[in-house]
Amino acid sequence: MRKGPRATSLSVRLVAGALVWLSVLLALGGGVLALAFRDAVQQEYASRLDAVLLGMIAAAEVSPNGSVVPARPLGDPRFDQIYSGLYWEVSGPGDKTIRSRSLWDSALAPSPGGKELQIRRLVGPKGENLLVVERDLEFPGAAGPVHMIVAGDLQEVSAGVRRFDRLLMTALGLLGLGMAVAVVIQVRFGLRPLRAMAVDLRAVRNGDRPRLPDHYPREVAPLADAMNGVLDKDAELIERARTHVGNLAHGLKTPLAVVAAEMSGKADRDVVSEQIRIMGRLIEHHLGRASAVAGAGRVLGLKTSVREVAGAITAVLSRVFSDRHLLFSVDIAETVSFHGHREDLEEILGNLLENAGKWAASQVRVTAGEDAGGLRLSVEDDGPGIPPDAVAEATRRGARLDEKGPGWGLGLSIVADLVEVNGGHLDFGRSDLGGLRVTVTLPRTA
Amino acid sequence: MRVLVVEDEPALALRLQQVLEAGGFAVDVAYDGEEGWYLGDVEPYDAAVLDLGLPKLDGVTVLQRWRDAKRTLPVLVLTARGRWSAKMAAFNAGADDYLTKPFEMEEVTYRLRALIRRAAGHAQPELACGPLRLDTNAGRLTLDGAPVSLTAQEFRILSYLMHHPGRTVSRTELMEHVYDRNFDGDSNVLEVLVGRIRKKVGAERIETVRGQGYRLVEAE
Repeated sequence: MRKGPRATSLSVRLVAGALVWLSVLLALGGGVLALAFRDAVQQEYASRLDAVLLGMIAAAEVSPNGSVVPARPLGDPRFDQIYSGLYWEVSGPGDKTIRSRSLWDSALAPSPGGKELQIRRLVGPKGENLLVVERDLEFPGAAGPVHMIVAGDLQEVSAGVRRFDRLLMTALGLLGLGMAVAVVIQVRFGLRPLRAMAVDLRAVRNGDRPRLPDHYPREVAPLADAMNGVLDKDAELIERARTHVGNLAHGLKTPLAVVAAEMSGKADRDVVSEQIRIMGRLIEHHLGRASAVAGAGRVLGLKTSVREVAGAITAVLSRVFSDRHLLFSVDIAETVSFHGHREDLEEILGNLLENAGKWAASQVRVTAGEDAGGLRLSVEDDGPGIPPDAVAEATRRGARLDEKGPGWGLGLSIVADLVEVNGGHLDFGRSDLGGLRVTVTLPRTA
Repeated sequence: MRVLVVEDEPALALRLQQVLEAGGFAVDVAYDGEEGWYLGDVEPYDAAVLDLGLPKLDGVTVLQRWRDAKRTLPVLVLTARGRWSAKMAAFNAGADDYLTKPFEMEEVTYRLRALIRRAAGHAQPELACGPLRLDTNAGRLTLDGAPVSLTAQEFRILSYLMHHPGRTVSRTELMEHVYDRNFDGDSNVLEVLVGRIRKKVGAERIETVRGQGYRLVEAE
């Protein structure tokens, strides 16, 4: 019965969406943290190197010929180990350059700078990545400005960074996993009412329960209510249909008995004819009621243009009553709609208009409008109308107000049934045209 | 006037035939949709009574096919379904009137007469031609107010002529609308009958148009 591929499962949607977002945010967060740590570590190393540089500056002396030399040995023994990874270089004044022993036969290319500390990277003699701190300096008594460089291997701190990265990934990974699990649990918990509803629906289909329970959350309650509405209506209709069939069967028994009795002797034609008329009326009546009942159930989403139906029926009646030259006027706005089956509206309007046509002197008018109370239909004629005390009689089952034409009373009682089944009511009154005015009010379906 | 009855229930078909013949019609009967369609298509009927629930071909389809083939004869539809949606379907297919079962037999005669009269272009139920008056509702002919005694055949001839006053009706046309399919006579019978009618209503009323047919003379 299902027509196409099912849409993606809600659980899958919710979980997949959450996981995607989670991954993106964790990756971004992790990336930002890693970069920040790297930066902090580098800054810290730079300050350490700067401290060494400042130490060098403090220990520097100006020799008599104007050059600058470090007088005391610098604290760190690595300056004396070849390619140790820790280097210094002093350039100036002029072309003179002194280097640490660790630099051996290499050089650190100085960059023109200023009095402030400059930090940059270079490739060292071993091909290692160096962090370089350097300053331009003026020594009193020196022949010119001096440029001092201290450089350190970044390997010193990279191990720490790598360790942090591993820690970060593990932590974020675990966090992500934990959140994913939480999301899955939350989704399952959140969608539980839907699973409960599926179970309840299966029970209803199997006949284990007559309708869905009332305890669903706000978001799915309308669905459950609509379903229950349909189920209740179905049950009601089946019951009514059964009643009608029973009533019809019962009602026919007496006339049939009378006919049988007549046929066993010398049959009185008038008696038999009368019984036939009665049986015919009963059948018409109950069939009419039963089909009214059958049609009323499935009214979800139906919409019929009242003006169109009224127009079609008056066109037919103009032909049927053409001898009488009646004027049929339809005074209905295009937007007025009947929220039910077209056949039911045709039955209501058809019977009312045919009735009006039978009694009218020269004109019949049909009007309709929608308001807060629902749909209101009025059919009026300029005939004799009916006396007020006969109003109640007019809608009684099978009653004939007058023998104007066969089946007069039947048409109105069918209309009364249809109106009742659709939850509305029928009113009679006097029209300003001079005759009868029949008004049908049909409320909006809740 | 000649009508076609298409009805599959034999008892009902027979009764309709009897009632309509008594009412002054020549009647042909078809018992299923195929036969009904065929007859309505090839024979010239003044009207048809068509049951909707037919074997072989349903009534609405028969009606639609007649209308598609431009057969404009008035059709009275019979059916058990009293719902208006069924009536609307019949009218949309081209029906001119509608009766639900069970119905009074007189109703069929009455309505057919009205349909035929309207189809011939007469707005009033009473057709007049000088002192001759035909009450189409009751199927009664009067001359200066006094009822005229005619046989069934004579009535049909005069009634047909009165529905088409002033027009020359050929012998063939007259025969086709006055006799049912089973008639196997010749047109001399027509001469004799017209002669008898002239004796009853006045010879000047019906004019013989040499070589063409007969014409009802309208009053000055």
